[in-house]
Amino acid sequence: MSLIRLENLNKIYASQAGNVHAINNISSDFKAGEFTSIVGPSGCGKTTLLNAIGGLDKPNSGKIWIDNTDITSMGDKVLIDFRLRNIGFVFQAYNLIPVLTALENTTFILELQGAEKKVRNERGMELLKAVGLEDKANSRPNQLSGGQQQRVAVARALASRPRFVLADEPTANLDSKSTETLLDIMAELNSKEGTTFIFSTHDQRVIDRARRIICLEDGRIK
Amino acid sequence: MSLSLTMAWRNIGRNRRRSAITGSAVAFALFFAISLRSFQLGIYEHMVDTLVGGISGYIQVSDSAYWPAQNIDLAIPENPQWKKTLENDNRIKSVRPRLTGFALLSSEKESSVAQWIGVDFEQEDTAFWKNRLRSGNFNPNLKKNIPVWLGKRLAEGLNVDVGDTIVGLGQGYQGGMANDLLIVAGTLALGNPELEKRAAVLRFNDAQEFSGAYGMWGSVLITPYQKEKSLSLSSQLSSELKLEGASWSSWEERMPELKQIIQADSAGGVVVLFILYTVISFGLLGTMIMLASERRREFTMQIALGVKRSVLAKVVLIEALLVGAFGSVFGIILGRSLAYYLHLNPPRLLGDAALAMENMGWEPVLPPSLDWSITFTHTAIVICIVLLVSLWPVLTVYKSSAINR
Ligand SMILES: Nc1ncnc2c1ncn2[C@@H]1O[C@H](COP(=O)(O)OP(=O)(O)OP(=O)(O)O)[C@@H](O)[C@H]1O
Ligand SMILES: [Mg+2]
Repeated sequence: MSLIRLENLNKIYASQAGNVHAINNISSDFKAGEFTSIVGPSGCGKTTLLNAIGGLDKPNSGKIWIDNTDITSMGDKVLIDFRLRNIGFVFQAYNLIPVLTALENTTFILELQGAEKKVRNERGMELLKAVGLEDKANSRPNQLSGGQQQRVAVARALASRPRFVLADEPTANLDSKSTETLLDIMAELNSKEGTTFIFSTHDQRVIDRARRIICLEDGRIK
Repeated sequence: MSLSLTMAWRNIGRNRRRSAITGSAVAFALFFAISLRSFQLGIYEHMVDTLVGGISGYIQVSDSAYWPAQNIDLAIPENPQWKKTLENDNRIKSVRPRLTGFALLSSEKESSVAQWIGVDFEQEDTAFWKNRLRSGNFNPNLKKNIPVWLGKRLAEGLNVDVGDTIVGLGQGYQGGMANDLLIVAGTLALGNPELEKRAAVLRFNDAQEFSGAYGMWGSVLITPYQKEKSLSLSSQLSSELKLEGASWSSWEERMPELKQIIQADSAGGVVVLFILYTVISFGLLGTMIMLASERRREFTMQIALGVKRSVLAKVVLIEALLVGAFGSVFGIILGRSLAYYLHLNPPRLLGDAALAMENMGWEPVLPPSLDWSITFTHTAIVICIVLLVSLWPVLTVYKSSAINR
């Protein structure tokens, strides 16, 4: 049984230059434990697709089944709670809350879910250790490098053991060494914790690490 | 500390300049409002105290037909038990019986109609009478004769001075005659030219003897601790502490013109404050618009992660309230310190204004009020303004979506 099922998904942006069919009738399946990369040239619809799967934006038509629940029919408030409890996010940039420390950012979702402080901090430290930042637990985001911030974001996305993690170009702002480190961490967490990862990229080194690759072109799967 | 509180608290330090501007605007508004109102209301208190406090009383208990004619035949029997109860009431500062009537006063050359007022000096605010004494003293060394303290203008009219003898002749209690020799013991400035032309103050026992109204009170003047509550206290006490044959009235009921003058003047101050608050509100709104645009990306990111909009709104509101509270504390400390300092060292009027006031028996000083209700009212207003302008970032939160557009 699949974790995520996309059924005839369409997203059309209306603009002055005419309509853009950013997702063109996509159907696909994602299984638990996948380590999947969505690739394609700029403007092919990667971000649009990930936003739809994550419930951040509504498709114009089609269905998105997550564990047999159709999230396209959920209201805004229900969807916010659904994201909190089921999906981990790593954004391209501006991921962390500036006034919280690395550990507090890591445990942020857990705290909103109502986890106890002791449980939270143990899990938070465990993940900071996994991303190699246990000595930065009390640093604020502005005291961390871009790569370190992305690692904290990965730690946060995983801390609450979500059903899957979505990452839209998580390495776009990183140098090759940081990219390597982040991918090592993601791959390791994928195999150790069985976390499902779906990430977009146009970086060949990242594509090489993926176990499944979905190629998009003009909003269609190639 | 809860997560919202932690985030709100730390957010204050993020853009310190903006937080400082918000806090100082609140502090300034409150400082200005408290100072201005304390000054204004202080002047009214001083005015009412002079015109009402010693003469007709904040609250008066007398026969219902007694005021304003003050007919001695409407005197009420003394009731020491009732007076004791009143004196023991913790809302009441002082209880002073008065007895008054009208008489013709004659010196060697002149005569004048006067109102004699029997005053029990032991029950009175000694400062009130000391401030008003212009010559003579309150402890005359007289064995046989009755001492009298004349209003300044009355003494001038009769062409008498301390130590002179005058004849008093008038209507006594229930058709009796009131006549006696009176010795001028002092002259008084009473804060009201009309009163100064006709008032002749006697000791209370002397007044009873002079008029033959033994065992009678003309009226009883009551000063509450909370003078501004005279009106409600008067009606409350009138049912709690009934006195046979007497009715209760507060100064507002007896002198509605004075009340109106104060209200009209006070409205001017309210207009000034309204303008101040409007200006401050727009200033505060500016800082809130800044705050909202600084946080827009963060709101979007958090909504994407699954943070409820109500939580984000709560964080913003707590932050605004914390800054507002800091500003308020500063404003209150500054405003009240100034009011307190000036209350202890009240500014004195100089020149003609001072002379005019002094001639009316009105100390030419402007002591600000220390009434806490001024502080509470304006703190509440300022906090409401802060909450109101925080609606801008709150609306921004509710308009934010989960992705950047
Ligand atoms: N808000 C929008 N309004 C109109 N058109 C949009 C909007 N967002 C995206 N598009 C268009 O939809 C198409 C897909 O965009 P999308 O951002 O998904 O591409 P992408 O694959 O993520 O590109 P990149 O690699 O540059 O991030 C593009 O043609 C883009 O111009
Ligand atoms: Mg993109």
